[in-house]
Amino acid sequence: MDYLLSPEQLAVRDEVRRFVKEQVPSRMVREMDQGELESGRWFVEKAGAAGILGLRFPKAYGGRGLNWVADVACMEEVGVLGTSLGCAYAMPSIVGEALVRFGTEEQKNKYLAPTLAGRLYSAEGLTEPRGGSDFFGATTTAVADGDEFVLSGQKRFVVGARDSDWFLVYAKSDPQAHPHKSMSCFIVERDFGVEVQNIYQLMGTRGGGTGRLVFDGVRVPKANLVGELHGAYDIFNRMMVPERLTSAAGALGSARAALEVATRYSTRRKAFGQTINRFQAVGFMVADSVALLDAARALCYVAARAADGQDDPRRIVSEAKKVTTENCWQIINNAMQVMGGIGYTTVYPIERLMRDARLSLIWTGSNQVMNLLIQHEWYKEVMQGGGKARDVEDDALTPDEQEKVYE
Amino acid sequence: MARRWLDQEHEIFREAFRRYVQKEIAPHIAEWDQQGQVPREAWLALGRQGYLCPWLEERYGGSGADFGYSVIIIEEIARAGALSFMVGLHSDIVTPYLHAFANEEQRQRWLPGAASGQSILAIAMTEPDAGSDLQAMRATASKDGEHYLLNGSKTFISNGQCCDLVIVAAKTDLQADPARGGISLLVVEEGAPGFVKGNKLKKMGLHGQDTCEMVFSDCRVPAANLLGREGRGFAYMMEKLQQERLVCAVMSQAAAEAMLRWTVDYCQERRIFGRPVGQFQHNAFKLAEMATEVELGRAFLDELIEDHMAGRDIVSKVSMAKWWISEMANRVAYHGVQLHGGYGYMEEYPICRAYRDVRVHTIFAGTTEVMKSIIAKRMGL
Ligand SMILES: Cc1cc2nc3c(=O)[nH]c(=O)nc-3n(C[C@H](O)[C@H](O)[C@H](O)COP(=O)(O)OP(=O)(O)OC[C@H]3O[C@@H](n4cnc5c(N)ncnc54)[C@H](O)[C@@H]3O)c2cc1C
Ligand SMILES: Cc1cc2nc3c(=O)[nH]c(=O)nc-3n(C[C@H](O)[C@H](O)[C@H](O)COP(=O)(O)OP(=O)(O)OC[C@H]3O[C@@H](n4cnc5c(N)ncnc54)[C@H](O)[C@@H]3O)c2cc1C
Repeated sequence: MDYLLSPEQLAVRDEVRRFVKEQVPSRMVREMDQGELESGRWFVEKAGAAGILGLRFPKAYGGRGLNWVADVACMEEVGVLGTSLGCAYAMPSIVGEALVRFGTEEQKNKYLAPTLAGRLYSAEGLTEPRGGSDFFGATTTAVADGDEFVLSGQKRFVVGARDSDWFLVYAKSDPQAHPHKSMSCFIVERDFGVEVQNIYQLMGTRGGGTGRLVFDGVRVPKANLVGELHGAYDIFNRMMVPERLTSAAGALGSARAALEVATRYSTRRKAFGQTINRFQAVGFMVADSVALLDAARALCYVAARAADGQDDPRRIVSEAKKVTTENCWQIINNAMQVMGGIGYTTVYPIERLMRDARLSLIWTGSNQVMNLLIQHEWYKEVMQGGGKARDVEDDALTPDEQEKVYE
Repeated sequence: MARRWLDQEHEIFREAFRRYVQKEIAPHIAEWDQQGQVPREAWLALGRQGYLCPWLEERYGGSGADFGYSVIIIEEIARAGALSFMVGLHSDIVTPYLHAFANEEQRQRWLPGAASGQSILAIAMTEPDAGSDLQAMRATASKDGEHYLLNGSKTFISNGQCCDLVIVAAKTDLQADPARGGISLLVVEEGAPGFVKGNKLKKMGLHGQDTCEMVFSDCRVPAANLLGREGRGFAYMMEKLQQERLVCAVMSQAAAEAMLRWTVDYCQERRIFGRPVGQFQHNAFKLAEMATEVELGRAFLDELIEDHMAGRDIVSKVSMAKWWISEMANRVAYHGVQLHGGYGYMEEYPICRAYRDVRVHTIFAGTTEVMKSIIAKRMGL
């Protein structure tokens, strides 16, 4: 039973479910985890050909004009493949958001459409050596020079650095200005002269060509500025939505997959004359995991509805990212415990999902950075919007207004 | 806090051993992980320095030291992040079986090699179908004149590829009721006919640990390699599992202490939003929580070590320590990675490896659930 999706949404989810089941050879998943293959391009090409990238974007650019709820449902399906392919699938949806919302018609035609078709492979560069959390503290600079901007600096931990065709890059275009008015967003083609240094050895999420980008006076045509000059603040704020929703939804898929493996295993594995699911220690661990999963799913789908709506969805989206990634990590950790020693080995994929899932609490804004936003928005909401509902302070046993005066 | 079981000589020894670890072990961790095994030379080098089985009497090649020295060795290796180098398994888990249950002739045969590192030891209890429930094991050993014919397969055997001697638990009496009364321990030597070491198991962590399967097909083991008495194997294991669990708890505790230290160091160095990561209250409090848990584990464990050294019954408490400290180490790993941000996910940072390595601590040597069932049973439940 699914209480969250409409029949149409279920249909597209099933389409992606079939794609994930039938079009992705296990061999490729393995080779990526072993670092024998350092690119998700093949997957994006296939998904693009199947027409399942960027489903919520307009049909004119290769999307299907669906909404965030459908996108999250599909992302969840791809998440069963782990974080690396999950990220490959999410990336067109992430960079696409910037182009659809802020890009020019020319940019949409030149970059968005081929990206959604799987012909161009894309990546996003925000994080810098000096920090990922402090976005506005960036030091990469963009200096206007005639019809071009000249980019100088470094981006770190960029998935797809190795072989993406183009990067969505943020840089300081007015270093003296207030941080919120200091940055701009650019489409930078690899061939403009982006250098790639160092492909990282990672705990998980392997095979995505995650590396360091170096911009050493890279010249970018002015036509490749996305949105307003010095206007990256608005873009950054909107980009949180696809970044965080996709990392949350992907984690749902990984956790569900791991839990299903452990659940099946516990009905086959025997100890002390019975299958281990009959020990409450195991059965309840599975029950706790299902409850954590459903709670996270519900929150993700609420956040997706918020993202489809008109109000600022960032708080609920950030909550979904935080709660989902934490719950999903816990579920996969439980799955490993249920499996005993074999779960720690590569005989089952739990250990890979466990390594993969650890990233989701860190990237697209660490969960502490989620809390920064959640606290900020919640305080604002309570302080500004209070008074609409009953004020239960009046129900106190001994209300005393004098006692409530704080110097 | 003063660790009552430590005296000044222990401290002097710790200093020397720590320097040794820094020089001879720490620089090789990544390389050993790559190779999937700790080279024999590293064992022999430890043996030459007297760092293997220091508790053995001198006549067997040891130094007659107390268990405290073993604890220090296990702690310092774990603290350096070399969790794959299972010296504690060799010196303080397997060798004690030989020492306690072997006859004099067997001791003379086996113990000096254990102390020198010439002979690396392993113990094979677990089978593909019998992990927590050891009594369900299927390996059999039937007497055939001066030999036992050993048949069966074992899995997840630490030091499995490099070992020269492995203690194998097998059923010598299939009729025994309860089944545990039919289990015996046999010492199988490398090269015994019918003994095949399987492939190394690939794992989430402990990449430098050559955990593997073992197959015995009509493997001929001299009757003189029976350890102790027939049918007593299960009782021997129950006795020796106490120290095994203590060794694991010591490893987990030392790993937690190391991970905490690395994380504190990182949070003091790394600056974000213009100040050190550790200066944000959330992070400072997280570190404070981790430090509190680590201290609680340390206090409990030290008392336990003292009890064990005094020969007191530690069955309940060691089960508590094994599960709680191993889970605690995993919490420290989890938050440690988080506090490192993206860098915690990079293999070049020790917290990343430790996170992968300690995950198995709640599983091997008796899972968390098995520990709780022991405690519950001893509570009369
Ligand atoms: C495998 C991988 C792939 C990635 N892919 C990309 C990518 O494609 N593109 C991209 O741009 N980036 C990418 N990232 C970067 C990722 O988004 C950052 O690692 C993340 O934002 C955290 O930044 P940091 O690593 O610099 O950690 P830091 O910012 O140094 O954070 C360190 C710790 O401090 C905490 N912290 C920070 N600020 C505060 C605060 N104000 N209060 C309390 N605690 C705080 C953090 O939560 C964390 O625990 C990737 C990272 C990894 C590991
Ligand atoms: C890296 C590694 C090294 C190892 N080294 C050795 C070694 O050197 N020698 C050796 O003999 N073995 C070794 N082991 C095996 C290890 O001790 C077992 O994996 C462990 O005892 C668990 O057994 P199992 O894997 O069969 O899990 P199972 O027994 O199948 O357990 C599966 C799940 O069921 C739960 N469960 C089982 N029984 C109960 C119960 N009664 N009540 C509640 N829950 C229960 C468990 O807690 C677990 O969550 C090693 C394992 C690993 C992974």
